[in-house]
Amino acid sequence: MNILNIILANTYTLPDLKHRLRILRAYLEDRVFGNKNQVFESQDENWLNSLPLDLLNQFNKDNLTSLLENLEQQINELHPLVLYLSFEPDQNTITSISSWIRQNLSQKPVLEIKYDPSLIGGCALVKEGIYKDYSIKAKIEEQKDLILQEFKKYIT
Amino acid sequence: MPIEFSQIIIFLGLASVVGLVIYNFRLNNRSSPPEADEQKSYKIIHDAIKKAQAILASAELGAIKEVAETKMVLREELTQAEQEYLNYLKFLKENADSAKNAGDEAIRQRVENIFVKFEERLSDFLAQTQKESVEAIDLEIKAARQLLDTYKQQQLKMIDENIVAMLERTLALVLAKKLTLSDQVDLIYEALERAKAEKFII
Repeated sequence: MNILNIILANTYTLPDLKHRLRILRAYLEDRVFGNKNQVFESQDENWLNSLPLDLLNQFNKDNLTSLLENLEQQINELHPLVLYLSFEPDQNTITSISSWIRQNLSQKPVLEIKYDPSLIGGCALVKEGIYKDYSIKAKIEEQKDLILQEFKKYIT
Repeated sequence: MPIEFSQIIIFLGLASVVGLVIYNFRLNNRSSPPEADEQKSYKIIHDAIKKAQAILASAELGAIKEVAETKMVLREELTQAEQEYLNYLKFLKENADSAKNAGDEAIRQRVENIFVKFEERLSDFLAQTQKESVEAIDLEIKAARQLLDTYKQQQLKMIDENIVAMLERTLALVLAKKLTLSDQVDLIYEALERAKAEKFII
């Protein structure tokens, strides 16, 4: 059972993934060592409760640390798809975008959302260090000469 | 030495006096001559007196004639001298007039030349000044035109460089307020479609 794939089933962004790893670690430590110290937010608690029992039962006192370290290492080796948006999306919007990506692409990368208002609309992507701009700003740059010609009709 | 009329009169006067003295001497010194001798003496004296008078008259006449001739000569010489003087004056006047006319003509010619040269130089100066002014004005106009062209080119270049930024800024300001969340998400989907079509994401 691939723990990371299970977590990634409903985790879309890298910050969310790292956050869920932290709360999973805290939850499992409490569960395995019998402590009840942690108090989680409702959405985190809902997510923890949505995890299959089989996954939680894999962890014990002996392998907790190693499994979590392994999980963390897998997460660090991920190559997220960086998405530059012209606005700061809420969770529903992130979920919609991620759903579209997972439905339309064979690869299902975890996302990293960044904010760039200069894009105006659309988005820019960074994949494995390569930046590609598909925003309205890029469209204006592509059509620059045509736009200048149109403007000059009014000036000259 | 010219004979003076007064000298002649004085000479005649002395001759008369001498004659009268001789007459008186003989008259006083005569002894009781006989009548014939007395008559002879009187006749001699009378003749002498007559001759003296004749000489005197002749002398007077000669003197008068001399004086008249001298006067005539003098008058003639005076007239000649006067004529020569007048001729000389006329000559001087003519020379002076000629010199004056020549001088006037020379002055007039010189003044005319000066004015002609002045006009020529003034005309040249004005033409040169006009040419330089026109050239300076042309240069100024050319510089101004160049400046305007440069400014225009700079403005167009600034527009070229900034129009995209202006458009982006305008759209960012306008669309940020106009685009709904749904529109934004649609634009994102459109961008992702293009990335997929270009096989940037698979």
